[in-house]
Amino acid sequence: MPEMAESDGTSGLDPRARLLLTLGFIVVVTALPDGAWVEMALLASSLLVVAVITRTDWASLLRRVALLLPFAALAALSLPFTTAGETLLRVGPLRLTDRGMLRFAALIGRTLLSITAASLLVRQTPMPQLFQALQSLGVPRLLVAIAASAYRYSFILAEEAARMDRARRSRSADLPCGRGRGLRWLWWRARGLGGMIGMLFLRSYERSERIYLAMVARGYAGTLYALEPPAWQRRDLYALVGGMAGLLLCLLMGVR
Amino acid sequence: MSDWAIRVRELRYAYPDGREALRGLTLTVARGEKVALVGPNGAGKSTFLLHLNGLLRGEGVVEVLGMPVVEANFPRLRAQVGLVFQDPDDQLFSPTVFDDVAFGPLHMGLSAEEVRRRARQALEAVGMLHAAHRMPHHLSLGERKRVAIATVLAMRPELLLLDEPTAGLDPRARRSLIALLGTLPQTILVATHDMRLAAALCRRAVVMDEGLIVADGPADRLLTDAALMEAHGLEVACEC
Repeated sequence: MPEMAESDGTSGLDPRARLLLTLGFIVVVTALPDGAWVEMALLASSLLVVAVITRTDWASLLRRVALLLPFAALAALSLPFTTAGETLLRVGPLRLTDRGMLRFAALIGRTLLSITAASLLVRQTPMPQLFQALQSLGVPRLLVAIAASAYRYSFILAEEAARMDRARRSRSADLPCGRGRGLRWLWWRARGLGGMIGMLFLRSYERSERIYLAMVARGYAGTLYALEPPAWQRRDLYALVGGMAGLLLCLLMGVR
Repeated sequence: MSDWAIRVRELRYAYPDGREALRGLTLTVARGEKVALVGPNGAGKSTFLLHLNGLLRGEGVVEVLGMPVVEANFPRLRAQVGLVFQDPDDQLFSPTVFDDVAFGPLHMGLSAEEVRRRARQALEAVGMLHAAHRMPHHLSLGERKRVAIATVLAMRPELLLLDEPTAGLDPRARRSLIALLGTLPQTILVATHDMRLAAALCRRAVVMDEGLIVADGPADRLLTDAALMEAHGLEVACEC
């Protein structure tokens, strides 16, 4: 089960302000030119401050970031070789350039900061509040409802899959094709897995029917309604405006 | 206003694959009654409940709270008939407990203030107000069952339809749920094969098998009739 925040829903900054600040942060990080290291360091320290204030668990935050970083690194891997500039190193037909290295480092920096900001948001804000924030910021209700129910039922789906896997393992102490782990074994496993996925799909399909009935039974007739979130507090508005101003300043410093 | 909460005559329903689920079922339930609908798996209990707010429609006469179950009455019917599904995970589809309990009142078109008030009251009635901002998957099965009942209580229904409310509960959660149901003033029709629930909650029992009502009478007499119970795949409620 992922480690998500769950609070009484009253403490801390308004989720809408958090969401907007995180988005603003990511936009600024992305828009900064390559080599704006001072500004990046400023942004990084602002994340540090947020993490300290919110008493974020460092280890799990870093684990999450580390999990996503290889994907970014893989995507950026070609940059040092494909960007024009002064050659630093020749590897066969490839030329490593100085500008290429700079772009590579800047991209990794941007990714690192963006992922950390997004992880901070998700770790410190209960998912239901995030969904509500998205909705009140104008994301279509149906889209939010789909995301929210996907989140809600992902746990049940995972539990169902785990139960089925346990049942499968408890019945397959001895493999029908002996101890070898050759192609036949692989084929046999793949067939089992395929069946399991099909079964999960069927069960989810049937469940979705029952959920729909439960919604209709309580008056759902095609239009989703939702309660409006509480009004903005002055404190949250100050934080939002102040934060955005800081981000903008950082961006201006960088592009100058 | 009629005195009948439920009046069903000669109700027939066949599944899309042609299998007959209800084969001419006739039943009346007076307002204020608490009736146990007992029968083995596959007797058609759940299918029958789904007819009482129009989620399924068969042939025959179905009247609930004085209204024929036809499309024009659906909005009013669904506000006054609270159906609690067997698996609370089907009923609790919102991110938080509070959102879920607010869903019914919200879709009845009530004001935000009234929605909040009703959701709080319903959660209080089932003893789950402390969990209002929690996510349903963090609750125990017994707690989720209580919340599922709150989701329909928030609509202030006159008739409660419960499908296997005690299935899967441990004895303590089961006892406390039965006690909770006993405090509710509504007309209740509870489909179950939990004989002790039936005996504890209901004065009247209706035995259903193969899509028909096969016996109808005082719960203490029917539920202790060993021959009847055995003939329909049930068991005699013990004295506890």
